[in-house]
Amino acid sequence: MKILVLNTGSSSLKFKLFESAMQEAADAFHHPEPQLKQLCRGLVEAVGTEATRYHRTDERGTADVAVQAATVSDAFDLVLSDIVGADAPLSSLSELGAIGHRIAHAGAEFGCSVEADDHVLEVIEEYAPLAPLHNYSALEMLKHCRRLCPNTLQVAAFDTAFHQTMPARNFVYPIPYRYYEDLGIRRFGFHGMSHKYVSRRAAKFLGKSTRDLKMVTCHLGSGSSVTAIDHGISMDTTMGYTPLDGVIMGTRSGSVDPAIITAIMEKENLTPAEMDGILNRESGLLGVSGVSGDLRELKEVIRFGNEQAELAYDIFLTSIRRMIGAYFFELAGVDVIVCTAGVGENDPYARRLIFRGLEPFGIRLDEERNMVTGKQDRRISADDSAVEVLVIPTDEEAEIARDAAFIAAGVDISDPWAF
Amino acid sequence: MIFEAMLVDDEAPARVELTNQLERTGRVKVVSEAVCLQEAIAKMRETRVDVAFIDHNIVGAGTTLLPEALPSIPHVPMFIYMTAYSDYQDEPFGLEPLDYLAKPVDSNRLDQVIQEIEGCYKLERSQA
Repeated sequence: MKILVLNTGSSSLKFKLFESAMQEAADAFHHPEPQLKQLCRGLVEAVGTEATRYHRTDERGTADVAVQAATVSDAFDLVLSDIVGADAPLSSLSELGAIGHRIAHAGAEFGCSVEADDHVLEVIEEYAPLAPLHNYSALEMLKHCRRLCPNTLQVAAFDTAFHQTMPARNFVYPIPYRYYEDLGIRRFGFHGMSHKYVSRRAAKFLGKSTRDLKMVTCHLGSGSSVTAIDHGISMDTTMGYTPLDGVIMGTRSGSVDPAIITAIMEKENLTPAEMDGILNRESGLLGVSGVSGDLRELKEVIRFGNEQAELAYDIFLTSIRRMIGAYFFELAGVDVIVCTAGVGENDPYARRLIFRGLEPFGIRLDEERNMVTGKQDRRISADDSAVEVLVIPTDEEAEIARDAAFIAAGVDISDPWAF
Repeated sequence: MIFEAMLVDDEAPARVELTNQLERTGRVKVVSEAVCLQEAIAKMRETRVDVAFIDHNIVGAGTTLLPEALPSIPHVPMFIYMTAYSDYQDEPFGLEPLDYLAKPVDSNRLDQVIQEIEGCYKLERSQA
Protein backbone atom coordinates (compact mmCIF):
# COMPACT_ATOMS: atom_id res chain seq x y z
CA MET A 1 0.00 0.00 0.00
CA LYS A 2 1.22 3.52 -0.74
CA ILE A 3 0.89 6.28 1.82
CA LEU A 4 1.38 9.97 1.16
CA VAL A 5 2.25 12.16 4.15
CA LEU A 6 1.68 15.91 4.00
CA ASN A 7 3.18 18.46 6.34
CA THR A 8 1.42 21.70 5.51
CA GLY A 9 2.83 24.96 6.83
CA SER A 10 1.50 28.47 6.32
CA SER A 11 3.59 28.93 3.17
CA SER A 12 5.12 25.54 2.52
CA LEU A 13 4.12 21.99 1.76
CA LYS A 14 6.44 19.11 2.63
CA PHE A 15 5.57 15.62 1.50
CA LYS A 16 6.87 12.08 1.58
CA LEU A 17 5.53 9.04 -0.21
CA PHE A 18 5.97 5.62 1.37
CA GLU A 19 5.40 2.04 0.36
CA SER A 20 4.06 0.18 3.39
CA ALA A 21 3.72 -3.53 4.04
CA MET A 22 2.32 -4.95 7.30
CA GLN A 23 4.59 -7.50 8.82
CA GLU A 24 3.79 -9.72 11.74
CA ALA A 25 6.37 -8.65 14.29
CA ALA A 26 7.35 -10.93 17.12
CA ASP A 27 7.96 -8.13 19.56
CA ALA A 28 7.01 -8.39 23.19
CA PHE A 29 3.53 -7.07 22.67
CA HIS A 30 2.62 -8.91 19.50
CA HIS A 31 1.15 -6.42 17.14
CA PRO A 32 1.95 -6.20 13.43
CA GLU A 33 4.41 -3.51 12.45
CA PRO A 34 4.35 -1.66 9.12
CA GLN A 35 7.59 -1.86 7.16
CA LEU A 36 8.00 1.48 5.43
CA LYS A 37 10.06 2.29 2.40
CA GLN A 38 10.38 5.90 1.30
CA LEU A 39 9.68 6.30 -2.43
CA CYS A 40 9.74 10.04 -2.85
CA ARG A 41 10.08 13.24 -0.87
CA GLY A 42 9.78 16.88 -1.71
CA LEU A 43 8.90 20.41 -0.73
CA VAL A 44 7.07 23.38 -2.18
CA GLU A 45 8.41 26.46 -0.43
CA ALA A 46 7.49 30.14 -0.35
CA VAL A 47 3.93 29.38 -1.47
CA GLY A 48 1.98 32.53 -2.33
CA THR A 49 5.08 34.57 -3.18
CA GLU A 50 7.06 35.34 -6.33
CA ALA A 51 9.80 32.96 -5.24
CA THR A 52 7.86 29.69 -4.98
CA ARG A 53 10.11 26.67 -5.65
CA TYR A 54 9.54 22.96 -5.93
CA HIS A 55 12.14 20.38 -4.88
CA ARG A 56 11.65 16.68 -5.22
CA THR A 57 13.88 13.61 -4.90
CA ASP A 58 13.00 10.09 -5.97
CA GLU A 59 14.27 7.30 -8.23
CA ARG A 60 14.04 9.64 -11.20
CA GLY A 61 16.56 11.94 -9.58
CA THR A 62 16.22 15.44 -8.20
CA ALA A 63 14.00 18.25 -9.46
CA ASP A 64 14.43 21.85 -8.36
CA VAL A 65 12.30 24.32 -10.27
CA ALA A 66 10.61 27.69 -9.87
CA VAL A 67 6.83 27.28 -9.90
CA GLN A 68 3.65 29.26 -9.26
CA ALA A 69 1.33 28.37 -6.43
CA ALA A 70 -0.92 30.91 -4.76
CA THR A 71 -2.19 28.55 -2.04
CA VAL A 72 -1.14 25.28 -0.43
CA SER A 73 -3.91 23.56 -2.39
CA ASP A 74 -2.31 24.81 -5.62
CA ALA A 75 1.01 23.50 -4.31
CA PHE A 76 -0.53 20.09 -3.74
CA ASP A 77 -1.98 19.97 -7.27
CA LEU A 78 1.47 20.80 -8.56
CA VAL A 79 3.02 17.99 -6.50
CA LEU A 80 0.44 15.53 -7.82
CA SER A 81 1.11 16.51 -11.41
CA ASP A 82 4.73 15.53 -10.80
CA ILE A 83 4.42 12.37 -8.70
CA VAL A 84 1.44 10.78 -10.49
CA GLY A 85 2.05 9.47 -14.01
CA ALA A 86 3.56 6.74 -16.14
CA ASP A 87 7.18 6.97 -14.91
CA ALA A 88 6.30 8.58 -11.61
CA PRO A 89 6.21 6.81 -8.22
CA LEU A 90 2.39 6.75 -8.34
CA SER A 91 0.67 5.43 -11.47
CA SER A 92 -2.68 6.86 -10.40
CA LEU A 93 -4.24 8.57 -7.40
CA SER A 94 -6.30 5.47 -6.65
CA GLU A 95 -3.07 3.67 -5.78
CA LEU A 96 -2.91 5.72 -2.57
CA GLY A 97 -4.09 3.70 0.42
CA ALA A 98 -3.99 6.66 2.79
CA ILE A 99 -2.99 10.29 3.07
CA GLY A 100 -1.54 11.33 6.42
CA HIS A 101 -1.74 14.94 7.53
CA ARG A 102 0.38 16.51 10.22
CA ILE A 103 -1.80 18.65 12.48
CA ALA A 104 -0.09 21.00 14.92
CA HIS A 105 -2.79 21.46 17.55
CA ALA A 106 -5.84 19.47 18.57
CA GLY A 107 -5.66 20.21 22.27
CA ALA A 108 -6.40 17.22 24.46
CA GLU A 109 -9.06 15.85 22.12
CA PHE A 110 -7.05 12.98 20.69
CA GLY A 111 -4.47 10.69 22.24
CA CYS A 112 -3.47 9.14 18.91
CA SER A 113 -3.77 9.66 15.16
CA VAL A 114 -7.31 9.21 13.81
CA GLU A 115 -9.24 9.06 10.58
CA ALA A 116 -10.06 12.66 9.63
CA ASP A 117 -13.85 12.74 9.64
CA ASP A 118 -16.10 15.81 9.98
CA HIS A 119 -15.73 15.89 13.76
CA VAL A 120 -11.94 15.87 13.49
CA LEU A 121 -12.07 18.78 11.05
CA GLU A 122 -14.20 20.73 13.52
CA VAL A 123 -11.69 20.13 16.31
CA ILE A 124 -8.79 21.25 14.11
CA GLU A 125 -10.70 24.43 13.35
CA GLU A 126 -11.53 24.94 17.03
CA TYR A 127 -7.86 24.87 17.98
CA ALA A 128 -6.67 26.87 14.96
CA PRO A 129 -6.47 30.15 16.92
CA LEU A 130 -3.79 28.49 19.10
CA ALA A 131 -1.71 27.42 16.09
CA PRO A 132 -2.83 29.80 13.35
CA LEU A 133 0.19 29.31 11.10
CA HIS A 134 -0.31 25.56 10.86
CA ASN A 135 -3.89 24.53 11.60
CA TYR A 136 -5.65 26.72 9.03
CA SER A 137 -3.47 25.62 6.13
CA ALA A 138 -3.57 21.97 7.24
CA LEU A 139 -7.35 22.25 7.39
CA GLU A 140 -7.45 23.70 3.86
CA MET A 141 -5.27 20.79 2.71
CA LEU A 142 -7.44 18.18 4.41
CA LYS A 143 -10.59 19.54 2.79
CA HIS A 144 -8.82 19.73 -0.57
CA CYS A 145 -7.65 16.10 -0.30
CA ARG A 146 -11.10 14.90 0.70
CA ARG A 147 -12.54 16.56 -2.43
CA LEU A 148 -9.76 15.24 -4.67
CA CYS A 149 -9.61 11.69 -3.30
CA PRO A 150 -13.01 11.06 -1.69
CA ASN A 151 -12.37 7.32 -1.42
CA THR A 152 -8.91 7.55 0.13
CA LEU A 153 -8.44 7.26 3.88
CA GLN A 154 -7.40 10.63 5.34
CA VAL A 155 -5.50 10.38 8.60
CA ALA A 156 -4.88 13.28 10.97
CA ALA A 157 -1.73 12.96 13.11
CA PHE A 158 -1.46 15.47 15.93
CA ASP A 159 1.61 17.07 17.46
CA THR A 160 -0.23 17.16 20.77
CA ALA A 161 -1.44 13.53 20.88
CA PHE A 162 1.65 11.83 22.29
CA HIS A 163 1.66 14.09 25.36
CA GLN A 164 -1.91 13.32 26.40
CA THR A 165 -0.56 10.71 28.82
CA MET A 166 0.91 13.42 31.06
CA PRO A 167 -0.41 13.25 34.62
CA ALA A 168 -2.44 16.22 35.85
CA ARG A 169 0.43 17.38 38.10
CA ASN A 170 2.33 18.16 34.90
CA PHE A 171 -0.37 19.67 32.71
CA VAL A 172 -2.33 21.89 35.12
CA TYR A 173 -0.83 25.37 35.46
CA PRO A 174 -0.63 26.91 38.92
CA ILE A 175 -3.16 29.64 38.14
CA PRO A 176 -6.81 29.72 39.32
CA TYR A 177 -8.28 26.31 38.52
CA ARG A 178 -11.25 27.86 36.70
CA TYR A 179 -8.98 28.73 33.75
CA TYR A 180 -8.37 25.04 33.26
CA GLU A 181 -12.02 24.11 33.78
CA ASP A 182 -13.65 26.94 31.85
CA LEU A 183 -11.11 27.90 29.21
CA GLY A 184 -9.21 24.64 28.83
CA ILE A 185 -5.90 26.34 29.61
CA ARG A 186 -3.39 23.57 30.34
CA ARG A 187 -0.12 22.19 29.04
CA PHE A 188 -0.57 20.27 25.79
CA GLY A 189 2.97 19.75 24.54
CA PHE A 190 4.11 19.55 20.92
CA HIS A 191 6.57 17.77 18.57
CA GLY A 192 4.76 14.60 19.67
CA MET A 193 5.35 12.67 16.46
CA SER A 194 9.07 13.38 16.69
CA HIS A 195 9.45 12.48 20.38
CA LYS A 196 7.46 9.29 19.84
CA TYR A 197 9.44 8.30 16.76
CA VAL A 198 12.89 8.84 18.24
CA SER A 199 12.01 7.17 21.56
CA ARG A 200 10.94 4.01 19.77
CA ARG A 201 13.98 4.08 17.46
CA ALA A 202 16.27 4.61 20.45
CA ALA A 203 14.83 1.58 22.27
CA LYS A 204 15.21 -0.49 19.10
CA PHE A 205 18.82 0.69 18.72
CA LEU A 206 19.53 -0.55 22.24
CA GLY A 207 17.70 -3.83 21.64
CA LYS A 208 15.12 -3.00 24.32
CA SER A 209 11.48 -2.03 24.64
CA THR A 210 10.49 1.57 25.40
CA ARG A 211 8.50 0.00 28.26
CA ASP A 212 11.69 -0.78 30.12
CA LEU A 213 13.41 2.58 29.72
CA LYS A 214 13.37 6.03 31.21
CA MET A 215 14.28 8.58 28.55
CA VAL A 216 14.76 12.25 27.91
CA THR A 217 14.31 13.20 24.25
CA CYS A 218 15.63 16.55 23.01
CA HIS A 219 14.12 17.85 19.77
CA LEU A 220 16.44 20.75 19.00
CA GLY A 221 15.63 22.64 15.83
CA SER A 222 14.34 26.13 15.07
CA GLY A 223 11.60 25.14 17.48
CA SER A 224 12.86 23.07 20.40
CA SER A 225 11.33 20.93 23.08
CA VAL A 226 12.53 18.40 25.63
CA THR A 227 10.35 15.52 26.83
CA ALA A 228 10.54 13.13 29.78
CA ILE A 229 9.39 9.67 28.67
CA ASP A 230 8.82 7.03 31.32
CA HIS A 231 8.21 3.49 30.04
CA GLY A 232 7.33 4.76 26.58
CA ILE A 233 4.80 7.36 27.63
CA SER A 234 5.20 11.10 27.79
CA MET A 235 5.33 12.23 31.42
CA ASP A 236 6.37 15.84 30.98
CA THR A 237 7.40 18.18 28.19
CA THR A 238 8.70 21.73 27.94
CA MET A 239 6.22 23.15 25.43
CA GLY A 240 2.92 24.09 27.00
CA TYR A 241 -0.41 25.57 26.06
CA THR A 242 1.30 26.73 22.88
CA PRO A 243 4.72 26.00 21.32
CA LEU A 244 6.02 29.25 22.84
CA ASP A 245 6.77 27.67 26.22
CA GLY A 246 9.90 25.87 27.33
CA VAL A 247 13.47 26.25 26.14
CA ILE A 248 14.72 29.24 24.14
CA MET A 249 14.20 28.83 20.37
CA GLY A 250 15.16 30.51 17.09
CA THR A 251 12.74 33.42 17.37
CA ARG A 252 10.60 32.28 20.34
CA SER A 253 11.41 33.29 23.88
CA GLY A 254 10.54 30.02 25.60
CA SER A 255 9.64 30.36 29.30
CA VAL A 256 10.07 33.83 30.78
CA ASP A 257 8.86 35.47 33.96
CA PRO A 258 5.16 36.13 33.14
CA ALA A 259 5.38 39.52 34.85
CA ILE A 260 7.78 40.68 32.12
CA ILE A 261 4.99 40.40 29.59
CA THR A 262 2.54 42.66 31.41
CA ALA A 263 5.37 45.06 32.30
CA ILE A 264 6.42 45.48 28.66
CA MET A 265 2.83 45.78 27.47
CA GLU A 266 2.24 48.54 29.97
CA LYS A 267 5.48 50.43 29.32
CA GLU A 268 5.21 50.29 25.52
CA ASN A 269 1.42 50.38 25.36
CA LEU A 270 1.20 47.19 23.31
CA THR A 271 -1.80 45.14 22.28
CA PRO A 272 -1.87 41.38 23.05
CA ALA A 273 -1.26 40.65 19.35
CA GLU A 274 1.81 42.91 19.28
CA MET A 275 3.20 41.29 22.43
CA ASP A 276 2.53 37.87 20.96
CA GLY A 277 4.52 38.89 17.88
CA ILE A 278 7.46 40.02 20.02
CA LEU A 279 7.55 36.74 21.96
CA ASN A 280 7.04 34.48 18.94
CA ARG A 281 8.98 36.23 16.18
CA GLU A 282 11.40 38.72 17.69
CA SER A 283 12.72 36.85 20.73
CA GLY A 284 14.84 33.77 21.32
CA LEU A 285 18.23 33.52 19.65
CA LEU A 286 17.28 36.32 17.25
CA GLY A 287 16.10 38.60 20.03
CA VAL A 288 19.19 38.24 22.19
CA SER A 289 21.79 38.19 19.40
CA GLY A 290 20.15 40.80 17.21
CA VAL A 291 21.68 38.85 14.33
CA SER A 292 19.80 35.66 13.53
CA GLY A 293 17.56 32.95 14.89
CA ASP A 294 19.63 30.33 13.07
CA LEU A 295 22.31 28.71 15.19
CA ARG A 296 24.56 28.13 12.15
CA GLU A 297 24.58 31.85 11.36
CA LEU A 298 25.13 32.69 15.02
CA LYS A 299 28.20 30.50 15.17
CA GLU A 300 29.63 32.33 12.14
CA VAL A 301 29.42 35.71 13.85
CA ILE A 302 30.60 34.28 17.17
CA ARG A 303 33.85 33.39 15.41
CA PHE A 304 34.31 37.09 14.73
CA GLY A 305 33.78 37.99 18.36
CA ASN A 306 30.09 38.98 18.46
CA GLU A 307 29.42 38.86 22.20
CA GLN A 308 25.65 39.13 22.01
CA ALA A 309 25.55 36.16 19.64
CA GLU A 310 27.71 34.19 22.04
CA LEU A 311 25.39 35.11 24.89
CA ALA A 312 22.37 33.89 22.89
CA TYR A 313 24.16 30.60 22.21
CA ASP A 314 25.00 30.21 25.91
CA ILE A 315 21.40 30.90 26.96
CA PHE A 316 20.22 28.27 24.46
CA LEU A 317 22.62 25.57 25.69
CA THR A 318 21.94 26.34 29.34
CA SER A 319 18.18 26.17 28.88
CA ILE A 320 18.54 22.69 27.34
CA ARG A 321 20.86 21.50 30.13
CA ARG A 322 18.48 22.87 32.74
CA MET A 323 15.56 20.88 31.37
CA ILE A 324 17.52 17.66 30.92
CA GLY A 325 18.61 18.05 34.53
CA ALA A 326 15.05 18.73 35.68
CA TYR A 327 13.75 15.62 33.95
CA PHE A 328 16.68 13.57 35.22
CA PHE A 329 15.39 14.31 38.72
CA GLU A 330 11.71 14.08 37.81
CA LEU A 331 12.23 10.55 36.46
CA ALA A 332 14.63 9.69 39.31
CA GLY A 333 17.44 9.03 36.85
CA VAL A 334 17.28 8.21 33.16
CA ASP A 335 18.63 5.36 31.03
CA VAL A 336 18.79 7.16 27.70
CA ILE A 337 19.08 10.72 26.40
CA VAL A 338 18.25 11.26 22.73
CA CYS A 339 19.24 14.25 20.58
CA THR A 340 17.33 14.92 17.38
CA ALA A 341 16.27 17.53 14.77
CA GLY A 342 18.49 20.11 13.04
CA VAL A 343 20.73 21.12 15.93
CA GLY A 344 20.45 17.85 17.87
CA GLU A 345 21.50 15.78 14.86
CA ASN A 346 24.06 18.06 13.20
CA ASP A 347 25.78 20.17 15.83
CA PRO A 348 28.42 18.18 17.72
CA TYR A 349 29.70 21.36 19.39
CA ALA A 350 26.32 22.13 20.89
CA ARG A 351 26.03 18.52 22.09
CA ARG A 352 29.47 18.64 23.65
CA LEU A 353 28.65 21.81 25.55
CA ILE A 354 25.23 20.52 26.67
CA PHE A 355 26.71 17.34 28.15
CA ARG A 356 30.06 18.53 29.46
CA GLY A 357 30.96 18.02 33.08
CA LEU A 358 28.11 15.60 33.74
CA GLU A 359 30.30 12.60 34.63
CA PRO A 360 29.13 12.72 38.27
CA PHE A 361 25.63 11.97 36.91
CA GLY A 362 26.81 9.04 34.81
CA ILE A 363 26.85 10.94 31.53
CA ARG A 364 30.07 10.89 29.51
CA LEU A 365 30.32 11.56 25.77
CA ASP A 366 32.85 9.87 23.54
CA GLU A 367 34.53 12.73 21.65
CA GLU A 368 35.10 10.75 18.47
CA ARG A 369 31.63 9.28 18.33
CA ASN A 370 30.17 12.73 18.93
CA MET A 371 31.95 14.11 15.85
CA VAL A 372 30.52 11.46 13.50
CA THR A 373 28.05 12.98 11.02
CA GLY A 374 25.34 11.36 8.94
CA LYS A 375 21.74 10.20 8.97
CA GLN A 376 22.27 6.94 10.87
CA ASP A 377 21.11 6.24 14.43
CA ARG A 378 24.20 6.33 16.63
CA ARG A 379 25.56 6.26 20.16
CA ILE A 380 27.67 9.23 21.19
CA SER A 381 28.22 8.29 24.84
CA ALA A 382 31.33 6.42 25.97
CA ASP A 383 31.15 2.70 26.74
CA ASP A 384 31.49 3.37 30.47
CA SER A 385 28.75 6.02 30.51
CA ALA A 386 25.91 4.83 32.75
CA VAL A 387 23.45 6.89 30.71
CA GLU A 388 23.29 6.15 26.98
CA VAL A 389 23.37 9.30 24.85
CA LEU A 390 22.11 8.72 21.31
CA VAL A 391 21.63 10.76 18.16
CA ILE A 392 18.49 9.57 16.35
CA PRO A 393 17.58 11.53 13.21
CA THR A 394 13.88 12.28 13.42
CA ASP A 395 11.34 11.44 10.74
CA GLU A 396 7.91 12.76 11.69
CA GLU A 397 6.53 11.82 8.27
CA ALA A 398 7.54 8.18 8.76
CA GLU A 399 5.80 8.17 12.14
CA ILE A 400 2.63 9.60 10.55
CA ALA A 401 2.84 6.99 7.77
CA ARG A 402 3.18 4.27 10.44
CA ASP A 403 0.02 5.47 12.19
CA ALA A 404 -1.81 5.74 8.84
CA ALA A 405 -0.76 2.19 7.95
CA PHE A 406 -2.14 0.92 11.27
CA ILE A 407 -5.43 2.76 10.81
CA ALA A 408 -5.71 1.55 7.19
CA ALA A 409 -5.20 -2.01 8.45
CA GLY A 410 -7.96 -1.54 11.02
CA VAL A 411 -5.59 -1.73 14.00
CA ASP A 412 -6.80 0.10 17.13
CA ILE A 413 -3.89 2.36 18.13
CA SER A 414 -5.68 4.18 20.92
CA ASP A 415 -3.61 2.48 23.65
CA PRO A 416 -0.50 4.67 23.92
CA TRP A 417 1.35 1.93 25.78
CA ALA A 418 1.00 -0.51 22.92
CA PHE A 419 2.02 1.79 20.05
CA MET B 1 11.85 -17.45 49.49
CA ILE B 2 12.46 -14.08 47.86
CA PHE B 3 9.28 -12.73 46.30
CA GLU B 4 9.44 -11.18 42.85
CA ALA B 5 7.51 -7.92 42.66
CA MET B 6 6.15 -5.48 40.13
CA LEU B 7 5.75 -1.79 40.98
CA VAL B 8 3.04 0.20 39.22
CA ASP B 9 3.31 3.94 39.76
CA ASP B 10 3.53 6.89 37.40
CA GLU B 11 5.88 8.70 39.75
CA ALA B 12 9.36 7.42 39.01
CA PRO B 13 10.85 8.68 42.32
CA ALA B 14 8.18 6.76 44.22
CA ARG B 15 9.14 3.59 42.36
CA VAL B 16 12.80 4.07 43.17
CA GLU B 17 12.02 4.76 46.83
CA LEU B 18 9.83 1.68 47.21
CA THR B 19 12.34 -0.49 45.32
CA ASN B 20 14.99 0.54 47.82
CA GLN B 21 12.70 -0.11 50.78
CA LEU B 22 11.60 -3.51 49.50
CA GLU B 23 15.05 -4.69 48.55
CA ARG B 24 16.51 -3.59 51.89
CA THR B 25 14.26 -6.18 53.54
CA GLY B 26 16.02 -8.93 51.55
CA ARG B 27 12.65 -10.65 51.14
CA VAL B 28 11.34 -8.93 48.00
CA LYS B 29 13.09 -8.25 44.69
CA VAL B 30 11.61 -5.80 42.17
CA VAL B 31 11.75 -7.42 38.74
CA SER B 32 9.32 -5.30 36.77
CA GLU B 33 7.91 -1.78 36.69
CA ALA B 34 4.99 -0.11 34.96
CA VAL B 35 3.54 3.39 34.89
CA CYS B 36 -0.10 2.56 34.26
CA LEU B 37 -2.56 -0.29 34.56
CA GLN B 38 -2.53 -1.17 30.86
CA GLU B 39 1.23 -1.57 30.89
CA ALA B 40 1.10 -3.53 34.14
CA ILE B 41 -1.42 -5.97 32.67
CA ALA B 42 0.64 -6.38 29.48
CA LYS B 43 3.72 -7.13 31.58
CA MET B 44 1.90 -9.54 33.90
CA ARG B 45 0.93 -11.51 30.82
CA GLU B 46 4.59 -11.69 29.81
CA THR B 47 6.43 -12.03 33.08
CA ARG B 48 5.47 -13.93 36.20
CA VAL B 49 5.52 -11.89 39.41
CA ASP B 50 4.43 -12.93 42.89
CA VAL B 51 3.16 -9.59 44.07
CA ALA B 52 2.19 -6.27 42.46
CA PHE B 53 2.33 -2.98 44.35
CA ILE B 54 -0.12 -0.67 42.55
CA ASP B 55 -0.53 3.04 43.22
CA HIS B 56 -4.25 3.75 43.61
CA ASN B 57 -4.03 6.90 41.50
CA ILE B 58 -2.51 5.68 38.24
CA VAL B 59 -4.16 5.83 34.84
CA GLY B 60 -6.62 2.93 34.75
CA ALA B 61 -7.89 3.44 38.30
CA GLY B 62 -11.68 3.53 38.52
CA THR B 63 -11.99 1.07 35.64
CA THR B 64 -12.61 -2.65 35.62
CA LEU B 65 -9.59 -3.34 33.41
CA LEU B 66 -7.86 -5.45 36.03
CA PRO B 67 -10.62 -7.97 36.86
CA GLU B 68 -11.38 -8.24 33.13
CA ALA B 69 -7.75 -9.01 32.38
CA LEU B 70 -7.34 -11.67 35.08
CA PRO B 71 -8.26 -14.65 32.84
CA SER B 72 -5.47 -13.65 30.41
CA ILE B 73 -2.78 -13.50 33.13
CA PRO B 74 -1.14 -16.94 33.50
CA HIS B 75 -0.08 -16.34 37.10
CA VAL B 76 -2.20 -13.78 38.95
CA PRO B 77 -0.03 -12.06 41.57
CA MET B 78 -1.09 -10.83 44.99
CA PHE B 79 -2.10 -7.16 44.87
CA ILE B 80 -1.11 -4.45 47.33
CA TYR B 81 -2.60 -1.01 46.72
CA MET B 82 -0.51 2.04 47.50
CA THR B 83 -2.12 5.28 48.57
CA ALA B 84 -0.82 8.70 49.48
CA TYR B 85 -3.92 9.55 51.49
CA SER B 86 -5.36 8.17 54.67
CA ASP B 87 -8.87 7.84 53.22
CA TYR B 88 -8.65 4.80 51.04
CA GLN B 89 -10.57 4.81 47.81
CA ASP B 90 -12.77 1.71 47.82
CA GLU B 91 -11.35 -0.88 45.51
CA PRO B 92 -10.01 1.54 42.88
CA PHE B 93 -9.40 -1.34 40.47
CA GLY B 94 -12.61 -3.29 41.07
CA LEU B 95 -10.71 -5.99 42.86
CA GLU B 96 -10.01 -6.51 46.53
CA PRO B 97 -6.32 -6.26 47.36
CA LEU B 98 -4.43 -8.31 49.90
CA ASP B 99 -3.74 -5.07 51.76
CA TYR B 100 -3.19 -1.33 51.49
CA LEU B 101 0.04 0.55 52.09
CA ALA B 102 0.09 4.29 52.78
CA LYS B 103 2.83 6.39 51.24
CA PRO B 104 5.42 7.27 52.42
CA VAL B 105 5.79 3.66 53.46
CA ASP B 106 6.57 3.03 57.13
CA SER B 107 9.11 0.22 57.49
CA ASN B 108 7.19 -1.56 60.30
CA ARG B 109 4.04 -1.48 58.24
CA LEU B 110 5.96 -2.78 55.20
CA ASP B 111 7.26 -5.62 57.36
CA GLN B 112 3.69 -6.49 58.31
CA VAL B 113 2.59 -6.52 54.68
CA ILE B 114 5.48 -8.76 53.65
CA GLN B 115 4.50 -11.16 56.44
CA GLU B 116 0.99 -11.18 54.99
CA ILE B 117 2.41 -11.92 51.55
CA GLU B 118 4.41 -14.79 53.03
CA GLY B 119 1.35 -16.10 54.86
CA CYS B 120 -0.80 -15.89 51.76
CA TYR B 121 1.89 -17.65 49.72
CA LYS B 122 2.13 -20.50 52.24
CA LEU B 123 -1.63 -20.84 52.30
CA GLU B 124 -1.78 -21.04 48.51
CA ARG B 125 1.01 -23.59 48.48
CA SER B 126 -0.75 -25.76 51.08
CA GLN B 127 -3.98 -25.61 49.10
CA ALA B 128 -2.34 -26.36 45.76
